[in-house]
Amino acid sequence: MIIFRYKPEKGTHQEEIKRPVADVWLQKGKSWLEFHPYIDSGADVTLIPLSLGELVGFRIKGEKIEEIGGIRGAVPVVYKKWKIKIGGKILSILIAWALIEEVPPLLGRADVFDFFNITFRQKEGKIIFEEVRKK
Amino acid sequence: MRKVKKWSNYDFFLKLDTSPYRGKWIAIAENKVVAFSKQADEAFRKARKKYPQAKISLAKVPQQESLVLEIKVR
Repeated sequence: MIIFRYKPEKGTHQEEIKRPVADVWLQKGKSWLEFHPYIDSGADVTLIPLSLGELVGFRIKGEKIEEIGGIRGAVPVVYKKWKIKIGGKILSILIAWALIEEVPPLLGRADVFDFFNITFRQKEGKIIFEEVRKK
Repeated sequence: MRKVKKWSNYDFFLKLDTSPYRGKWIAIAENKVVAFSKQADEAFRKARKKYPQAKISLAKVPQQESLVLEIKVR
């Protein structure tokens, strides 16, 4: 079981908003790069901004540039299958690599929410990741 | 001698007031923000130069308006 926590942040009017944050590693060559995305059960797919993708070695190699929609409009992305480490578990997940910088890094549902049962316990300030048992 | 509690980068990030870094990537190592930049690669490179042996993690501090479904307080 892996437990992540909520991070208190200040909203536009200085009010406190608690947001769920994960601690994950992206494969970067033969090593791993630790980063802290928001956990977003409303995001279909994990999303990372342009410069983080470039840092870990993403390159456009003839993939189709697609657009994914958010509340703030369309974001051009390239989909990558990439290795990510969550609490010592290595998964190959689908990542939408945004070709712009102005998006927050999000840990979304594709592959991740299939590998883990994820419980948000906001009142307790915890997000619990439990590995799905294979039948 | 005063003992300084050592947090993991994740623990440190959870407690950090990130509002001064909105729109930027921050690189964390050894209980502090060791570099920041609008680009993840630049923040990481600066951090690695200052702390060649340290465990470095990255986080992006979004602009407030880039967070969808933010509660608007009236």
